Amino acid sequence: MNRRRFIKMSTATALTIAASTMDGLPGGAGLFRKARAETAVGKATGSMGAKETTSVCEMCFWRCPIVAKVTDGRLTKIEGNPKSPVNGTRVCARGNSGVQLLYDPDRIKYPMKRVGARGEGKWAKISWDEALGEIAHNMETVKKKYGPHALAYFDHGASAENLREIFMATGTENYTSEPAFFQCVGPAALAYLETLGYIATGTRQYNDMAHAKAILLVGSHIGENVHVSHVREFIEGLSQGAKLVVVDPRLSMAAGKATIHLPIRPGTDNALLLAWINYVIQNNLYNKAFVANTCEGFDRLKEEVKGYSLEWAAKICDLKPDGMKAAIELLAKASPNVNIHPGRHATWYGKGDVGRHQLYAILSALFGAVGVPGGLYFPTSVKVGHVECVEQKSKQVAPIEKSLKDIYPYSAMFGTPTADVIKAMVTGKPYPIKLLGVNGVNIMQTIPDPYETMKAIKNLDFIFCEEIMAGETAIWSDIILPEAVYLERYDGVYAYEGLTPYITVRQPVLPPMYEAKSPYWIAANLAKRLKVEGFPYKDDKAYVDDQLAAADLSIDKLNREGGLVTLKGNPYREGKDLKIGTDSGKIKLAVEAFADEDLDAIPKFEPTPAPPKGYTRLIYGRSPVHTFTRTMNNLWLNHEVPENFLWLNDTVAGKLGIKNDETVRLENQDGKRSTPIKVLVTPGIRPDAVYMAHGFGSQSPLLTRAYGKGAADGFLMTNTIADPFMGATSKRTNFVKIVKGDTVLDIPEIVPLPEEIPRAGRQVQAG
Amino acid sequence: MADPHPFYFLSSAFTYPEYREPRPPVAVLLSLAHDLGLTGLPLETHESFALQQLQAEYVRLFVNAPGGVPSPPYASVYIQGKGILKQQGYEQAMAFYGRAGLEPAETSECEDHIGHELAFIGHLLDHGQFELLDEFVAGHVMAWSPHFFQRLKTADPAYFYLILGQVAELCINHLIQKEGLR
Repeated sequence: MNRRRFIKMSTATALTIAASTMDGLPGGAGLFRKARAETAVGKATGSMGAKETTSVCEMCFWRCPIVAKVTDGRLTKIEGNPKSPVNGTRVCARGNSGVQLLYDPDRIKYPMKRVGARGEGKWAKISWDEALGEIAHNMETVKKKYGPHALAYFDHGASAENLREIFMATGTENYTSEPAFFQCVGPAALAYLETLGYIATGTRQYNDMAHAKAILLVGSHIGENVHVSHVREFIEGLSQGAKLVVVDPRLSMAAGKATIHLPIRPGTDNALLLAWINYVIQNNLYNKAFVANTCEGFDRLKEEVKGYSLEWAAKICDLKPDGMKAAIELLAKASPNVNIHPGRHATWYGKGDVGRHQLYAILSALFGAVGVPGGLYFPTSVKVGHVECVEQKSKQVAPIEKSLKDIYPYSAMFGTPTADVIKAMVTGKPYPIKLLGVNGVNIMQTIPDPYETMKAIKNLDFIFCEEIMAGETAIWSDIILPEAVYLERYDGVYAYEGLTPYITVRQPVLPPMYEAKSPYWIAANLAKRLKVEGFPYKDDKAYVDDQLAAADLSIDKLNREGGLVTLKGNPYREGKDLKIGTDSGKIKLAVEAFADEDLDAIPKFEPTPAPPKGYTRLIYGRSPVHTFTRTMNNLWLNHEVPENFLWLNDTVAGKLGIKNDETVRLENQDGKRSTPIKVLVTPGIRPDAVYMAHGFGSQSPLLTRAYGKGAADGFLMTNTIADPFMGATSKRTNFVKIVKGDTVLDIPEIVPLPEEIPRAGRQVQAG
Repeated sequence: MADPHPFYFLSSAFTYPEYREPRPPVAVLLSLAHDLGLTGLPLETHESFALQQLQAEYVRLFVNAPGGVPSPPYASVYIQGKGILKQQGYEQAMAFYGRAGLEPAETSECEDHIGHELAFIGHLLDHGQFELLDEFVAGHVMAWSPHFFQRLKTADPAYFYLILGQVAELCINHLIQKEGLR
């Protein structure tokens, strides 16, 4: 280096610098201005002396009330809102780690346009004007060319609602195909709605574990699946002496605390439940007064379940009759303060999923455990305004000859089945779908058979997403819109209808970083370009205030109350106050409406095919510090749990010569292989199943920390069975072998299969 | 006294390339490189300097990319090694700006971006604030920029950004020697 030359720059350099400055380049001296206020230096660090703003967490869908602490314009800490009756000052690991989401260098910062091939991950930064203009242009072009139903929207969460209204205004019937419904809670929601007259499990769960004398969990692994108030209520119940029965092929965290753990053969839960219901009826363990006064269909139920004995079920379920009997008697003894947990993720096996949740509801009803402490309770209606940004008259579904909502009798009330939308994208039948908007959902990891999803995306004329982190969906998108993190935006009003109801709001604790925008802003500005009338509010705050007005509140008023107001709850009801929301006003032990659709009014046992020879069933669950794929890249959470493990039965591992911590791959029945995953050799799982936590094995190289860590269960799910009620897709109908090095190992069959259970073929046909 | 303009120029060159004519900054960069003794560089614009390619490369290197952003251009990512934004490195930068009586103008970028810090060096040179410059460069910029330039170098950057990184690093090093900074 020549100092002299640098000190006295060459004429050429000086001239060209001057020229480039004149050319109006950004940056340079213009990046600074004289400080308008004295800049504080040397203030206390951390959250000391911080400005506190109340808000609502969105690190998972449970949405705990929080307080965010900001020091010198920087978020330093998140705690629970002490006024919250559900979580108090507590937040979970994810709630704490919202700081890291906000400041993750991999978050999407600017609107971007794809400049490489789809899936290549090559973009240019563009302006909001260009991004929204391009989306509007493509929505109009596709609608004109193929009709309104060629537009589809896959959505999830609070941020998705504003954009959903835009899709509704296009006239498409595919304005919501929420994988959180059709690949998760759908069958459970329908079962409770039709049996009890309300959705006892959904985003919220109205089950009172804290006051239960006994709790039944079927597959639910609370503690691994963490929602703060949920876990608190569970622990409170146990600490007060509640007995716990856990039905799970795996010794989950909850099973480790169980009074009785029933390690059931996967796919046979309905056999156990039917046998238990029969046992309860035959042994007069049910609540006769409650059944007589509140339920209908008892005689039919009694007749239809009479053939299901404990001995029969024991063989099907591979359980000991004594254990099954002890468990149901333990639950019955606690009646009516018994908590038959309604579960949430229901899309397990396809055909029996609505039935399984129907059986939970029936068991609750037989025990009189509805509207009582410790049982299922009723949500208390909280009065807040429901504000629509686009008027209803502008959101009419266009006439359609063959609707995707008509394939199954119960999908129309919830949306268009996700799997059928994807099928239409691939086949063009019954009509072509050529444009997809995605908001808040990782469609590659959430919807089974991502290979089919990729095929579908390739057939699209246009795909865009509104995202915070660049997951797999972003990789495939033509336009990416950077959404403000929940800590940077207003959202709707949160009215909690649980035991102690409350009203709170999400509000920004800091302005959006980079060029991220709120969902309301994005939808309102897209609406302008599409000439969709609506979004009348001057800003997001006015939108939220209008919703609060119905409760005689405003954001300012709420903030003066600590960001949250509690209301009087009415969860327990009896006598004339006990009003059942079904059309007959009774709890339906037999749902005749199902029979009208050629479905079972009362579930019958239909065996779920067992793994083909040499395979084992893949089951999955949650990691306590992660929310699906959403949090995998978070610095703190990734540090805690960076990868998942494959739970493998110790006897099977011994026969295969696989050691603890050894790295293997999995190969499914269709030859699809996973990324490498370490093995946890344990007696805590049955020999006919392997388990992994969901959300790992990111296939998005945009997620620096999460990419390729562990294995993704979704990429092994190529066989799905459609639930006949609504077209929800099964996820536990996939089978795997273990690949050690280059060798594919057959899984030995340790537990013989009873003749009542057929074996799945190797190439299993989708239902 | 060292000239502030190269630092202003480098600051601009580290922002997203949106200019209509890419030739002037490319020419300046190559000229600066030549002045600094970086030899063997073509003085003519290369086809990889096409604006769309530079934009895609900028996004890959500094915004969002498969494999993660290979060279995040923020002090906060490196100082304390936390790898995230708006931490100690950001606080340090903001404190230095405040001591100079400045605050960052409103942009969409984080204020500890390399572009901001190079512009701030230019400002301190421009206004003869050498003591503060000494502290800023030795106590802050040198705590992270070598790591950043190294990550940029190993990210297999397009030619423009390879040279930009080398020139910026040489300018800072030369400044330290020229002004006798610590």
